[in-house]
Amino acid sequence: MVTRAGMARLAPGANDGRQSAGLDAAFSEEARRGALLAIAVYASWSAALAVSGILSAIAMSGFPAFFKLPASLVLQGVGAVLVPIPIYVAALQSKTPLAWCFLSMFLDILIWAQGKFFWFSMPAFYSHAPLFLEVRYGDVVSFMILLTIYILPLSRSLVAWGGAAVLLVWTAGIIHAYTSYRGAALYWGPLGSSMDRRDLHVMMNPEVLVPDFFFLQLLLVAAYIGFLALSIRRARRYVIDRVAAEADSAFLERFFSPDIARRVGDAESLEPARRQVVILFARFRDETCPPAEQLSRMQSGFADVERIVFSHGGILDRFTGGPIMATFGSLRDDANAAERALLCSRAILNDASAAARGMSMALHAGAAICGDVGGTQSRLFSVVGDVVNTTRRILDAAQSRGRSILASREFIEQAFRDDAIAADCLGQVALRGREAPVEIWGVLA
Amino acid sequence: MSDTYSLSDVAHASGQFESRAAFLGRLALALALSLYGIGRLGLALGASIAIAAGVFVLLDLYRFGWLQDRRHAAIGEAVVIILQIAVVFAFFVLPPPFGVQSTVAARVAFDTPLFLLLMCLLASNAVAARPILVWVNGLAVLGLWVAMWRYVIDDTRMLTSETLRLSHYKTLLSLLTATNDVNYFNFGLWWKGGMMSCVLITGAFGLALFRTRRLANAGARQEVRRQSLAAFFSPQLVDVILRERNDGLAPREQTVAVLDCDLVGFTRLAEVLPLEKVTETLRLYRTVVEDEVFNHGGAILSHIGDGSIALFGLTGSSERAGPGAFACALAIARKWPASAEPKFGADVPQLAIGVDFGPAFVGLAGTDRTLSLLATGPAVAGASKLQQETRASRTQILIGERLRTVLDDAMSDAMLEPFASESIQAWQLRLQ
Repeated sequence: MVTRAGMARLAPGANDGRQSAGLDAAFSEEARRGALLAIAVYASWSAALAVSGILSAIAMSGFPAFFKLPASLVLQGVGAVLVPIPIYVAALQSKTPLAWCFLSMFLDILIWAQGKFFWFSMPAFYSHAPLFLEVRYGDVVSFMILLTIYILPLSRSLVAWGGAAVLLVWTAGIIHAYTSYRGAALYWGPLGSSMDRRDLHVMMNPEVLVPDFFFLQLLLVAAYIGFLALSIRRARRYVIDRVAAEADSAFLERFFSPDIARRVGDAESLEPARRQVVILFARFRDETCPPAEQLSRMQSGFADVERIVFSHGGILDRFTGGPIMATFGSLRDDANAAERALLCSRAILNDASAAARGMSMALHAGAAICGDVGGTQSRLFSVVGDVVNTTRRILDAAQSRGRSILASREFIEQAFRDDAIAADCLGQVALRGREAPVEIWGVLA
Repeated sequence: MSDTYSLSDVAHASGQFESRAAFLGRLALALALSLYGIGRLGLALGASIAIAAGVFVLLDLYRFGWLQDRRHAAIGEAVVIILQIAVVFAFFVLPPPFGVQSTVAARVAFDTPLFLLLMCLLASNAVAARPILVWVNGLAVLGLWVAMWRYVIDDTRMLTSETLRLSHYKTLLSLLTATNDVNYFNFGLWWKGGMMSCVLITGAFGLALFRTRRLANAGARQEVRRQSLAAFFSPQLVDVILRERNDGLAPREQTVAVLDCDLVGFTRLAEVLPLEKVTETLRLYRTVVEDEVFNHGGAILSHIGDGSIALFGLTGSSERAGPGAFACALAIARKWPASAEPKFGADVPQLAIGVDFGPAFVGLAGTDRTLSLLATGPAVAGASKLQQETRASRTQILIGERLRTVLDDAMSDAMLEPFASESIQAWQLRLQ
C-alpha cells in the first residue's frame, strides 16, 4: 500500500528506468510461454472447427457425402490442424519461440484466407460463387479472433504485423473476389432516409457488394488492432508498475509498521533530517542451546518484538542476529517518543514470548540524523548519531549487570515528565568507548 | 475519497496514458461513425447516429472523468459499459426516432458491421487490464445478442431454414438469394459469427489478462526477494541465489571471515557538520564499502550508523574467504581517503577496520519481505573487538590471529607485524 504522493512517483514513464534485469527475464519467459500457448490455442481452435465441419457435413449430407467433399476443402481442414503441430514442436525447442509464433500466425492467416477466398485451389462447388459475400457475413471476425489469440506473448510487434497482414489479405481477397466474379455489382446507395424496401432488396442481392460495409469493416478492424496493441502496452506497464509498487512497499515494510509504511510512501518523508529521537536497543539473553535452536528462538522472539515495537509506533532496524535496534520519533518529530518507548520496553518484557522476555534493553534520547542513507546498491532507512553508540554501550552495561532495562538520564527526564519516576539511579557509569561517564538509571519493569 | 490505494490501484492509476488512449480511441470512432453516417445516410439518419454516439461519449466521459478515483469504480464502470452496449444495440435494432420510415427489417442489423463495432468496444475495455470489465462486456454482448435474436425471430414475416426448405434450391446462387432475403434469419451466422466469436474473443482476452496478472504477481514476489537480497549481496550473487532459490544459504554453522568497519569519531563530527555534508559522506562511505565488499565476493551484513559489517565465505570456498576479506580491507583503506579527500581535505575521518576468521552461525532466514541475513558467533564478535582496538593501534586495520594463519606466509610476513595488546592477540599492518 502506498499513498497518493507515492503514486506520483509511479506516474507513466517514472518506472522506465527502474525495470530490473529480473523483470526483463520474466517478460522473455512470458513471451516464450505465451508464444507456445498461442500456437497451441490456435491449433485447438482449428481442430475444433475441423471436427465440427466434418460433423455438420455428415449431418447435412449423410456419411457417404463426406467422402465426396472437394479435395481442396479436405486439405484445407487437414492443413489447419496439422501445420501448427511441427511449428509448436520447433518453437518448444527453439531459443527464439517468438519467431516461430510469427511464422505460425502468418501461416494461419494465409490458411484462413485460403479457406475464404480459395486463391490457390477453387473447389468446383464455389467456382461461380460471389465470394465477396464474406463482407456481408462479417467473416473478418475470424481473423480478429486469430489476432486476439496472438496477444498472449505480449508482443506488440506480433499483433501489429499480424494486423497489417489481416487488413492486406482481407482487402486483396474481397477485391479479387469482386473482380473475378462475372455479374458482380456495387450498391452505392441510397442508404439514407430515402431508401425503400426495393432498394433494400437490391442491396441484399448476393451478387451485390455494398462498399460502405466493406470500408466500415476495414475501419473497425484497424481500430480493433489498435486497441489490441494498446492492451499489450497496458499489460506490460501494469506488470512493471505493480512490481515497482510492491518493491517500494516491501522496502518500507522492512523498517516500518504496515500502517506507517502506508503513510510514508512518498520519497520526501525519507529525506535525511536531524531529529530528537529515542533509541531502544534490545538483546536476547545468551542461551546454552545449539545454534540452530538459538536462531529459531531469536527469530520467534524478534517477531514478537517487531509486533510490539510497531504497535507502539516505533521503527525497526534490520535484524542480523545481533542487538535489535528500534527508534521512536525518527520519522517525524514526536514529543511523546520517550513515553512510547518506555511503554514498548515494558510491553516486550511483559507480553512477549519466553525468548523475548529474557531480554536486556537500553533506552537513550538525543539528536540523530534520520532518513534514507543507503549506498548505491540498496536503500536503507538509517538513524546515525552518537546517541546510537551510547545506547549500544548502555546495553552492554545492562547485560553485564543482569538488568532488564537501563536508561540514560536524558531518557528518564523525557519519559517521566508527569509521573513519579519508576526508576532508580545507578549513578555515573563509565562506558566502553565513551570518554565521559554517563548517568544510568534502572527502569522498573 | 480514499487516502490510500492498494497496489492494483497504483498500477491502475499509473496506466492513465493507455486508459486515456482507449477513451480517445472510442471518441474518435464515435466521431468517425457519426460523420460517415451523416455523409452517407443523410442528415436525418446521420443525426440519429450522432445522437447515439453522443450518448455513448457522455457515458464514457462520466466513466473516464468522474469514476476513476471513486471507491467501487469497477462496479460503476461495469454499469456504464452495459449501458454503452445497450445504446449501440438500440441504434442498430430499434427504428430511428425520427426522419425515416421504419421499413427496414431489424434482421438487416446482422448484415451491418454491428458485431465488429461491439468487438472493438470489448478490445477497448480490455485496455484497462481489469478482467471484470472484459467479462462484463462479453456477457453484455452475449445477452443482448440473444435478446436481438428473440426480437428478430418474433417478427411474423421472418423466414428460417425450415420454412424455406433449403435443400430444394439446386444452384448455389438460388440458395444464396434465398438466404440473403431481407426476411431470412440465418441462424448459423448468428450462432457462429456472433455468439461463438464473442465467447472466443472474450475468452482470449480473459486468458491474456489472467496471465498478465499472474506475471505481475510472480514478478512482484521475485522483485521483493531481489530487493531484500540486494541489501546484502552483489547483483551477481543475487541472481545466483534467486536461481538456486537460496537453498545453499540456509542457516548453518560455517567458517567465515568477518570485516567490521567504522569511521572513527564520525558520529561526533556529524553533530556539528551541515546535514547535507553528513548525508553525502555517509552515502560515499557506504558506497565505497559496498563496492569493495561486493568486488571481493563478500556480503554486507549490516550498516548501522557509520559502522558496517561484511561477511566473506558465505558462497564459494571458505579458503578464499580470509584472503578475500583481507584484500577487501586493504582496498577500502586505500579507496576511502582518495574518495573523501575532495570533501574533507586533510581532515578525512579515519577508518577502523577489524577482520577476523572463524566459526559463525550464518544464513538467510525468513521469506520474501522478512528475508534477512543473520550471523552470530566468535568471528562476528572477534571482528567487532578488533575494530574497537584499532583506536590504540597506529594502523587502521587489525587482523585476528585466526585470519593470519590462513593468509599466505610470505604475504603476512611482508605486510603484518604483531599488535601489542593484553586483551587480544592481533596483527597490524607493518609500516612501509
